[in-house]
Amino acid sequence: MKHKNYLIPGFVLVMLVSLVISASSLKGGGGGGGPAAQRTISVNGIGKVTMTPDIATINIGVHTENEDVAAALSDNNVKAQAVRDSLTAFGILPADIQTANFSVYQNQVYGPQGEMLGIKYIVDNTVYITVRDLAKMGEVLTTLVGNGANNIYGITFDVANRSAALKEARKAAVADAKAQADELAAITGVTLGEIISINTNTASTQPMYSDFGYGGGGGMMAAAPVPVSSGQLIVTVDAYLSYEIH
Amino acid sequence: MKKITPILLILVIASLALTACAAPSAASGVNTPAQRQLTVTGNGKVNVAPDVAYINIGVHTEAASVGEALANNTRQSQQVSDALKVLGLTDQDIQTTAFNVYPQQNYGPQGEMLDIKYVVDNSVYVSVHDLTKLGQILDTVVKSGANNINGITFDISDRSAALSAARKAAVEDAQTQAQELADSAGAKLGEVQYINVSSYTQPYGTYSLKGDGGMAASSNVPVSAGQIQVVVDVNLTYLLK
Repeated sequence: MKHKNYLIPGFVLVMLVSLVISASSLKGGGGGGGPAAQRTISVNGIGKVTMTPDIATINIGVHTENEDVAAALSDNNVKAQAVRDSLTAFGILPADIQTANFSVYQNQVYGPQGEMLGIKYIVDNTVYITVRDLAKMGEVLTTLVGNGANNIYGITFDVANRSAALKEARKAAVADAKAQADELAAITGVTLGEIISINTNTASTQPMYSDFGYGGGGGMMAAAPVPVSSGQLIVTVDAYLSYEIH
Repeated sequence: MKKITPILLILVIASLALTACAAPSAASGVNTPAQRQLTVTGNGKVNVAPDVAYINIGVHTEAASVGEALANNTRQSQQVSDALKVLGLTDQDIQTTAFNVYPQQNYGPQGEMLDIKYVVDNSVYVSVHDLTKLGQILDTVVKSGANNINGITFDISDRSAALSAARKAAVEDAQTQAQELADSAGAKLGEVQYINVSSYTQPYGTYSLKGDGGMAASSNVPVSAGQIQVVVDVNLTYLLK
């Protein structure tokens, strides 16, 4: 008798649990359907625009060495001042000249047997300049070396204002994406609906790769000055478009 | 006592049975059907012979004085530049990528420090649009004073036609796969739900196919443009009926 009293509640519990399980599985199965998912087509269009550079940046340095630090410095100062003066003479504005490095350090001098002979001092004075008249670039470089610059590196061409090129590239990227979507829709037999999302991404500009040869001439120099060519730059925009399809 | 127990047992069995059949009936979608889908990835490849080559051409000079190193470099660089123009390259095809001047320590036979020498580098990155001239261009620039050349790459200037053909091939591949899978699974293809495309390019071996690259005459530098492969992947998702 006492046995029965425990048994019945036990069965009832099992029943309730199994009913709850069946109820929840019904609910779960029903939830899987939901509203009909949106049918979409996603494409990635690319727009490239070629630009002719109108500015160049470069590091111009004066490097001097001497056993006497004061002599290394005064030698450097004279040449660095001459470099600065010729930059000004070329019409380069103070805003386009920035000291990028001024270093004084000593190097150990070694003899034939590896013995230490003494110390020499080195002074470096480097300016980072922006040249806005590219036609003068070669002449500038030749003159600067003539006036004492002996450590030059990092020439880079750029376009001062690229907003017009970016606008054009964005337009081309969207047009490319749209053309791809039209093409895919035709092949697969669907109809394009509204645009659901648009994302654009501007890749960094890369040198040249002139896909189409338009734009003004680069600044190739005549005989005496350093030959410098500004070539072309390309700005690339990616456009990611999603269309609804029917 | 003995009467109640069987009734309870029956109830338990019945509720368990209900649980068991609840799941399949829900999955088959009596009220709101779950979507049955098939997703495939199609691949389309088109080989294109490159029509443009890019290469770095540099002049490297060294001298005891910076003025001498620069004068030599300027003369040789100008000759290289002139040669490029004579061979048909335009201003747009030539861009200065390096103009470097720097001092370098000289060492003697025992490793002792001697004087300083100056090094001048002037490099241009050029685009060559007439690949039949590429070998001649390389040969001529070296004879004109170029002594530091690297980084040759080939490309296609307009790949839109190739991309279009590759997209079409990729969709057809995806459609074929989907039909095959549906047939073998005994299902029927419904409407296309999602279409996604992505594309990339990769160099393709020079040994293959038509091989109409820019092989130059033997007196010049032999260069081969080979082929570039334009690849498009398409993901298609179909509804199954």
